[in-house]
Amino acid sequence: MTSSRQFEEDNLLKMIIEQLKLPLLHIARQTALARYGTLTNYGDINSIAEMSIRMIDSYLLTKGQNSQLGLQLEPVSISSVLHEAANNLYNLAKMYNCSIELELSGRFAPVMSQKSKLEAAFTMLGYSYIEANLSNSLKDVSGRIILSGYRSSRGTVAGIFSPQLEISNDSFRRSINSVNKTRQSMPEMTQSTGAGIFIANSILNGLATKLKVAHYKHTSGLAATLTPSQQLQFV
Amino acid sequence: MSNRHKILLIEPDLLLATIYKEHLNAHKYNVRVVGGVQKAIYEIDKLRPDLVILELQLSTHNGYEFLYELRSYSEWQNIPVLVHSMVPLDDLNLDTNVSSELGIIGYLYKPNTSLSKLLYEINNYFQLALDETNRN
Repeated sequence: MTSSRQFEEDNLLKMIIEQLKLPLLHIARQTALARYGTLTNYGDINSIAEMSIRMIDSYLLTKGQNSQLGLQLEPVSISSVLHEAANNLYNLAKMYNCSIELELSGRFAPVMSQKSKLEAAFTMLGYSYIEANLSNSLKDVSGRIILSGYRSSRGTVAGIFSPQLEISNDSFRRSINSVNKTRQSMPEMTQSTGAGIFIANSILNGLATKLKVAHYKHTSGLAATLTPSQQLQFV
Repeated sequence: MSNRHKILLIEPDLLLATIYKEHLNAHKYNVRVVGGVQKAIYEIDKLRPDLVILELQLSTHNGYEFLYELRSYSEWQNIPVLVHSMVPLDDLNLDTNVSSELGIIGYLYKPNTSLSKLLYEINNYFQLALDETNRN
């Protein structure tokens, strides 16, 4: 493994360690409240723990991606990936007063990728959106998160969008370059380290694509362009 | 109800905010929660809190920006602020001068502050404030 790749993985790991303090804190404080008999929503505790395990597993998917001899790609349905990611995010989103919407306009040709990695990437990205305090405005509004796929001239664009978050290309680029140099790599978006975004980007890099700022129906978000399967797109 | 101390909790994480609010409300505090600086300034004007509990690590604007904005208004100079943060003290530039200039009465590292410890610190602060008032 090259030293720069090792450095990147180490930085990501530090970020995840910092990020995981938050769900552990949720669990510790929720169980403390339960002891006082004030709050006993064990379903919430379960959802938080499940997402934390998912984060660890997603990080492990980024490990040693360069050591693979070649990318083992398979035809993957983007609709099915986004559908699964939306399912994975549903419980946590409900706890954070966020709605999860799945918008898939039209039919998509299968893309050449890896289903489990794509699913993990979009779940992690969605997790960062959920905990991004979308309702942090003067108006009391619920957060709205849209998982969407659409066709572009270069392939299928799949990503996560929200009308409550405006991310600029510049700030996103700065964030990617500042991983682990500051406590908050994306302060415009989240109060936490935003580890989910960087895990997602790292998984997508391993699949020969990357996250970019994109727009969908007057909302901004982060998305990746995926190449259609040449053999299957006419099937 | 009117003699309950009013606390403004600035906590960006909705789940943690709910937990702290539940706990403090159950111990007779009147807690209002906001997730960011903009809302905090708006709520301070409406609520006139007896204490602000502040997470410094916020999105968009950080807690220091909030503190400088807060202290720029003459009528809000004396609202005490208790920092309750995910940021370890060593990573903050919170020396005694800065703390006193910004009206910070204490610092609690969130991961190491249990609900009972948080409650103890708040009770303690209000008890000391009451003793001070009685002495004068």
